[in-house]
Amino acid sequence: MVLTIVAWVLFLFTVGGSGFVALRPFPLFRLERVAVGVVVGATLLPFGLFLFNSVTHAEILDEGRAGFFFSVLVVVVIFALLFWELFSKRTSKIITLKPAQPPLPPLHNLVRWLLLLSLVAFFYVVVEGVTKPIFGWDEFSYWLYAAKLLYLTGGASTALRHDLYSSYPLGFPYLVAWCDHFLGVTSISAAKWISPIVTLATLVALERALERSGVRSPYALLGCALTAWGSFMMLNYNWLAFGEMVFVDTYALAALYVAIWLRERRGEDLVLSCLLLGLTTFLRVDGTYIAVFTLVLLFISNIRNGFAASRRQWFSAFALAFIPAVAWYAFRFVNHMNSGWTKRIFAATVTARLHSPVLPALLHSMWATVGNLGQYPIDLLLLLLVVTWPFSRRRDVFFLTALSIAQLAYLFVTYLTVFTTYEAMHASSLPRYMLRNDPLIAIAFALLISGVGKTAVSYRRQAGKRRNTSRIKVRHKAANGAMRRGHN
Amino acid sequence: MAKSERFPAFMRVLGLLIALLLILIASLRWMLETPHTIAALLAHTSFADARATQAEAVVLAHVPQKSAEVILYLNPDDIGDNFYRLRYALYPIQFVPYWSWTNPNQGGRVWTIPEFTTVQGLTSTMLKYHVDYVLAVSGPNLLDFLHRSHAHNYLFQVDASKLAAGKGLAQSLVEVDQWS
Repeated sequence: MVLTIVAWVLFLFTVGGSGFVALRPFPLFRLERVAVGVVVGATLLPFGLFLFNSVTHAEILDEGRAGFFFSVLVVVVIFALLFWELFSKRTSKIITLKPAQPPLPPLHNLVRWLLLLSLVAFFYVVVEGVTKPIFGWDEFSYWLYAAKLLYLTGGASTALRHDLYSSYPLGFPYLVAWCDHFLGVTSISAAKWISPIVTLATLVALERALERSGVRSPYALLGCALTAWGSFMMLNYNWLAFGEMVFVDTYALAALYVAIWLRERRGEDLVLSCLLLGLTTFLRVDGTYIAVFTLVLLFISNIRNGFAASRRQWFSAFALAFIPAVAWYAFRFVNHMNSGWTKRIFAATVTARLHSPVLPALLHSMWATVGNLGQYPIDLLLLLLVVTWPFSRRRDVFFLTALSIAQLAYLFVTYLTVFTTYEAMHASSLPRYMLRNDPLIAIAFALLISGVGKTAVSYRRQAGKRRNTSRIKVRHKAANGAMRRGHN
Repeated sequence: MAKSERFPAFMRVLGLLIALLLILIASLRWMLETPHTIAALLAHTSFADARATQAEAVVLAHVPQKSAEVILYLNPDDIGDNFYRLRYALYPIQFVPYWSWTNPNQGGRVWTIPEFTTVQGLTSTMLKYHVDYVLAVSGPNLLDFLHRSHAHNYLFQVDASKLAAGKGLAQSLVEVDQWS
């Protein structure tokens, strides 16, 4: 019991600590930095393990002496970096000030408490599911099978080379194997706890980040509550088919930071969003495609917004968005791992599916599948966002709305191409795909009804202290125009 | 709040109300429904789990724990859960994959494809994957070719040399264990 608690503390320390250290260049709230640190560390640490093993072929997750010394090394390095970070005041960029805002009316306070209560209820239900011995076949089919293989082979990144799923990225399996390494045993019921922890960190980060960009706390909490409750699947997927939840959490935060960047025009948020977006490519087999169309929409939303970041920040954003994907594809190329999604697609398949018997039947089955019922309420909100967009011409809301429409289009393309006819007709994959879409709608809706808010000039002033070039001044004619029209 | 944002205030109030209602309904529904969902799932999965653990115990008793051993798992009642559970539990032992991107699970009727139901298909599958053992649970078609009862479950050892020489399934498969 004591050893299990020590193992969990060490696991969470390495995951959260590595993310916290990596977020050093970004000016964030303290709690926000801890929470985003957990989400970033949940993929950054596995990515580091993957790279280290692929280059050195060392048995990093071995239960013998080598694995022990490696984990001690990781803990000591993270501890040293944290120590250095916490005691060097000069470079610390944690934001402690809040913008002065008028007090909330009493009704808003009541709403805030209700929303907090709903979030507590959400985690109560999740814990109820996590503690029961229920396991979906997702765990056995890929995620935890891969984790077991990684654990038993001492963290060999080529352990799944001859598997059917060899093209699936190893982000989440490495995370679970790292947890198993501390526990000393492969445990599915232990792995079930990881996703709820990352989801909790995501919701905390969401609330803090929205408040940092000037959204009042009831609206920020509304964003969290809609993210949790708006899609009923969010609840199930945290304990029944949790393999994809870390992707969902990381991607939702990436989209959120793009929206905040469009709102605040502060380059650090762009870099942070691209860091998160890059990490998503190591979490899902089609993560790269999703990251690419997200980046395209980022550029479209940024038209006539000035460059909104320095040249150096744009460069690092690009690098961070592409490094994990490039590393993963290089690894696959070197090891000849090309199964999975690289199926040949014929034009005839696509055109046949566009015609009469298939497409209407597909749309009908989407509508008629009982499991898809939970999607309708949140899709009503998407409809509302689309309808109100001409009245509220805002970049952040536009970006998130366009992104969720792009996700729908992407789902349609996968139905036409890689899914089998049976899978497409069954349409039970709809909630799985919408899982990453629903947080975008929830955040967009919260941003829409919270209004433009008070821009966080005080943060900029605080962040600007370290350099003489404060970015409060409007630098571009286009940006000047945008500000006059009230876009930002 | 910028002056020029042309977004009417009543829409904001309406939106807030809709969202609150949604959260209220969702949270109430799930607080009430989740215990029943969990109970139903537990009831549904318990039978399959028992059968899988039984087969697991038999395999552990007879098959060496090496990655060189390949098992062909046949279970017409299985929609996949037991296959993956067994594969997970018996890890260094390898299983013949029944699922692939080029020939996916045929609408859930995984075990009715010719590779698992005909003499020719079974023979070629065993030779292709160098199968050492066959695990026949809940009466697959294979038992008809071997004239065995569907009431029992079997573990067979494959004599690859006889199979390759075309001696047929009945002579090539040696029964290792039988249970019901």
